[in-house]
Amino acid sequence: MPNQKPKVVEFYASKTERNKEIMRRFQEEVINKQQYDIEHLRQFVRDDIIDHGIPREGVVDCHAPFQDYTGIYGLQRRFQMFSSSFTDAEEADAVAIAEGDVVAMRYVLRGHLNGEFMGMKGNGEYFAMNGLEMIRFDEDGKMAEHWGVYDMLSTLLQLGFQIVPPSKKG
Amino acid sequence: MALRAVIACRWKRISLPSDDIIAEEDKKVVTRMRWSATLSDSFMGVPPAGNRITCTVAGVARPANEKIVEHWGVTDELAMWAQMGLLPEEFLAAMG
Repeated sequence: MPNQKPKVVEFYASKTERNKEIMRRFQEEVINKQQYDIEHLRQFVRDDIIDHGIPREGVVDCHAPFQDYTGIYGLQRRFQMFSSSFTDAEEADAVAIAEGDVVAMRYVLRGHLNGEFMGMKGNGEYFAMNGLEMIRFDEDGKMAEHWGVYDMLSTLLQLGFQIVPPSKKG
Repeated sequence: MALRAVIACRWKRISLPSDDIIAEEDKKVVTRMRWSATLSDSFMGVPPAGNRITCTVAGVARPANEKIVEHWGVTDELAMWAQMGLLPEEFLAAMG
């Protein structure tokens, strides 16, 4: 069977180490290749993933546009909207830290604004954003829960968004 | 780059509880925290409104001999600035 790949059996020192490797592969094969079709996502993510996004207490809720989409579909929607604004965005300089069933990964996301984003038109501006994700994996190595922290304020300023203090408004 | 409000401002009644802490072989510690504090002074011309300002903060620290020798952190300052009244209405509307 020429098209059949040989079965690879992978061994890890622990499930924690396995989860770290899955996290790295997710970054490489999903995020950085912008491959967000459901079947591909399902290889890494549980259908009922609980996505906390950036935990915020009712302020600037970035998840409001996705509230009609739960679990893996909400995640897919968020990824798709993001990649329509930043078609070349890539996470680099990643460092993964893991304990038990949780993996944290910090990274720098770099890209250009080539599509529309929050009312701004694509202007080709470059940005670099610090981010940190924390993922809880289930027994089978699928992502079950997610929290993230991103420096969106700095990103928006790099893209050309201007904040005019109320006192300077005329 | 953004002027870091968390550093640039004077704050009072700061609380910073941890929501999650994980450590890898005592080499790196990741903490996800909830910042909550009240502004003492004006920031960018906006006087303190007296409201509690809350946002998520995450840090990665590398300890050696029980002291932190390296630190990397990210703060959700967008949420912080929104609560300070520094982000325009139309922008908040565009965010959802």
